[in-house]
Amino acid sequence: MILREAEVLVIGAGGAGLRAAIAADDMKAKALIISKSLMGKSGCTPMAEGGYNAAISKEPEDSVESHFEDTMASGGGLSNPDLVRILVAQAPRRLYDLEGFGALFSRGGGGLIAQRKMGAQSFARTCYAGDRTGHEIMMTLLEEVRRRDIEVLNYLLAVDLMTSGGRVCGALTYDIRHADFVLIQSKVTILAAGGGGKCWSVTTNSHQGTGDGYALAARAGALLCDLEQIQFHPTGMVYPDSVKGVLVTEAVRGEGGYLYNVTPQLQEAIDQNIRLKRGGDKPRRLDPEDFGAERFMCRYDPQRLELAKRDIVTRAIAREILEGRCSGSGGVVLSVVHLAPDLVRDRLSTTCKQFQDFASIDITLEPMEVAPTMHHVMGGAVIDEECRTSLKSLYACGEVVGGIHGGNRIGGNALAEGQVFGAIAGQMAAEEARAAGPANGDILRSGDEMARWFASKLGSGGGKSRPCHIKRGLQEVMTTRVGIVRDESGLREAADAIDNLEEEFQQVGVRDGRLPFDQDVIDYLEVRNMLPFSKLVARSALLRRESRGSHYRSDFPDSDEADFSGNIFALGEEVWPEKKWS
Amino acid sequence: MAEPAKSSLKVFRFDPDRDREPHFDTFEVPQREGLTVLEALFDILETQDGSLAFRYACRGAVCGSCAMYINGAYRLACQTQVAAFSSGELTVGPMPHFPVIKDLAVDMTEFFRKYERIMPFLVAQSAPPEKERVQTPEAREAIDEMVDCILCGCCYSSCPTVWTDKEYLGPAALTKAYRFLADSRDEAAGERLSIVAGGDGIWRCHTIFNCAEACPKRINPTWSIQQLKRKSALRRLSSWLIRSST
Ligand SMILES: Cc1cc2nc3c(=O)[nH]c(=O)nc-3n(C[C@H](O)[C@H](O)[C@H](O)COP(=O)(O)OP(=O)(O)OC[C@H]3O[C@@H](n4cnc5c(N)ncnc54)[C@H](O)[C@@H]3O)c2cc1C
Ligand code: SF4
Ligand code: SF4
Ligand code: FES
Repeated sequence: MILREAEVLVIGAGGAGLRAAIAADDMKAKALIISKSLMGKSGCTPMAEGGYNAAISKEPEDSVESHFEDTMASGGGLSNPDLVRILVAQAPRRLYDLEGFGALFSRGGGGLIAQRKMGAQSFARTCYAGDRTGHEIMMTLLEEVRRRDIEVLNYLLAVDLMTSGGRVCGALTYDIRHADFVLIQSKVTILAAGGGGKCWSVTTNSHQGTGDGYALAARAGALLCDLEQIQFHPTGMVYPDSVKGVLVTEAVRGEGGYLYNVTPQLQEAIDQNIRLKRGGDKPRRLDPEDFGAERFMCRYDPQRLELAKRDIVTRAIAREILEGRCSGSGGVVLSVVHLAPDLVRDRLSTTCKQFQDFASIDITLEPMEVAPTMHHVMGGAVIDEECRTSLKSLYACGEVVGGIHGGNRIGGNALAEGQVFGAIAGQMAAEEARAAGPANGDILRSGDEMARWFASKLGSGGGKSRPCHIKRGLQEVMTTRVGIVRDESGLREAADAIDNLEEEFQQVGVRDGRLPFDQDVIDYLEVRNMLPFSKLVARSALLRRESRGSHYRSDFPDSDEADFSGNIFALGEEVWPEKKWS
Repeated sequence: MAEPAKSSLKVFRFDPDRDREPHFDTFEVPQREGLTVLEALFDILETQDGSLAFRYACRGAVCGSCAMYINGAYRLACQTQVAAFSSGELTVGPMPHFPVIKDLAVDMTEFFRKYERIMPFLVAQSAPPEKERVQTPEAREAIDEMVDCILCGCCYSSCPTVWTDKEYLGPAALTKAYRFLADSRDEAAGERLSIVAGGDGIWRCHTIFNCAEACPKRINPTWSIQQLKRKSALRRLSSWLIRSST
């Protein structure tokens, strides 16, 4: 085991983590960033396409009040207004920071940053860099981190937070590249480990999104909230199978894309195009409108149509599919065929390439098959206005945090969240680190114990079951039982199934464990986080016996306003409802 | 029921700590519609050999983690369909000319060290304005292509000059340098130009276009390098003109 020291330890190198490290550096604190993969390459930030919300539009005149109201309305009564106020007020400033660091946002009239309208927004508020906004933000932050020479350790997977006397004083990490443990002692720790999409089998998230941050926080004894609020993005790819779940950005609808259900005539035309392409011919132009397909959002949200709140669009699509008005691969279609091809190629170039490369579809000529896909964990660690968690010396920012988006995250608010709360966490952590004496707390012993416990698992993986099998089993359970439409019996089954998987996991070991990039070890350490996180999700969902936000219960299809009991909190294995801010 | 058709993947194996020589293992993977090489590797990992090492993250061709050498070409494993090779036989190796950490995972330290040498960040001497720096859509579009780079390393691995010249900055770093030089907001043109025009820079490029062919994002580093050459030549000329006129 290797020992390291850090003033401010940042766990996670996504948008939130890097912004936190930069803010700490501004305060002259020494930050150490760790990342589960190569910095900047893992996590969801580089994958974000649609954009970043900031109320900066002058014409028409947008306002932070309006951004606040839209966000609160979308949150379904669960958002913490104090945090939302901070988000909307500081989003513009943090956007200009990015631009100052060098980010290239798309430009509009007068050379100013261009904006587009995404779902559930009163104004065109989303700033973007084509449809690879996250990539641009990530590159910019990486460049800034390099400019400042902030230290980054790649391939370090945080295994557990180390606590001493109720304070977090570092983390035990596993070096995937060198197959060794690294124990990092820190004055202050910032948790920015992103989301948990990989607990579902169909997701937009990157492979690293296994809910580690939630599990680390929970095991250390931090308070979490809203874990039943899981956002399923309305539009993920459905075909071919190997890219199932990959995001089709909301920007497609933002730019004017329409959703249609699938009629037999449309299916026939789609099949015919497939045959044409197989034969090496050009596909026919195929506007769903010409094949009797219905723009079904008229029935679900006649005003906002395709740009309704995400949970509404998601449930509408799920319903169309459930009732059989879908394609052979189980999707509805999203079409931009009616838009000018040049505009599509310019504004949606990534989507164009994505469908061309993966599905051999020219989206200027043919519709895209889409279905909902797990996208975002709205819940997470409870923080105060200064990003403090309930544990001393532990701060959190980014997707790992709960209470901001409530029941439904608006597209474009997560990138902003990462920048706004990343900057706050970094600043506050640095202030605390400066005031603190040398890192203390005896974590060597507990670190050693952990490492020894893990060593006992090595070379013991001869059994039939491997960590990856538990992973698959869990993904299956979460997708079928804790998905878009939930009910009591399904959730109970899920909770039981997770218990069983936990038991099975006790018997599972790691085959070797001394190799670099040993997938068995990675899977093992991830499953150790996925199980408790998923369990909290299922148990929180059981507890909310109503439908609210993204949590939809077919046995309780309405919100229970009369008897609203607040947010659902989780501490250790306990879950309970409480009105703290709602 | 008939067995599903299978593809055969010949995969490069090497653990520098334990093996004296690299070798290839062949795995049979059941075919599925749209199966990508990355998925096939996961399939092998889960059902056949859990010790196979490779890098991955986004599975959507945006993170640049999974660049490999597949049937003699540089490709992103997540963007490459197994069915693209009608023979049903694939040879999958790590990107050549990178040190192998294990199997398909390569060490990118040198690649990033060179990238860092070109000062890959915006340098603006003037204090940042209250809001954004104004930039016309045209100026923004001029560097649209370079901005797309995902630092996957394909171009670098494909470049014959990189193979023979240890310090050559390489196509990715130079493309990045051009991205900043051409950025209407950047104010470090002089410094950056002297770095790229130095001994390890643009004048080593023989315009062989390997890099442009290798890039999975369809970026053309050679073009950026040529622009850098032109800018650098112009600067030399103008400084010579200024000197000779005084
Ligand atoms: C495909 C896609 C598109 C999206 N589009 C948009 C959009 O247009 N607009 C928007 O606002 N939001 C969007 N989102 C959501 C948004 O991208 C994320 O919520 C946000 O980027 C999360 O940032 P983060 O820094 O918290 O986490 P991430 O960017 O996910 O980074 C997490 C980091 O933590 C590291 N990590 C994880 N576990 C560990 C561990 N155990 N030890 C060490 N390190 C660890 C990872 O390696 C990674 O570096 C999108 C999400 C996806 C998946
Ligand atoms: S064009 Fe230049 S950079 Fe590209 S491969 Fe050839 S020598 Fe290398
Ligand atoms: S220029 Fe292309 S090949 Fe080279 S690193 Fe960038 S994306 Fe990869
Ligand atoms: S996994 Fe990200 S580019 Fe292939």
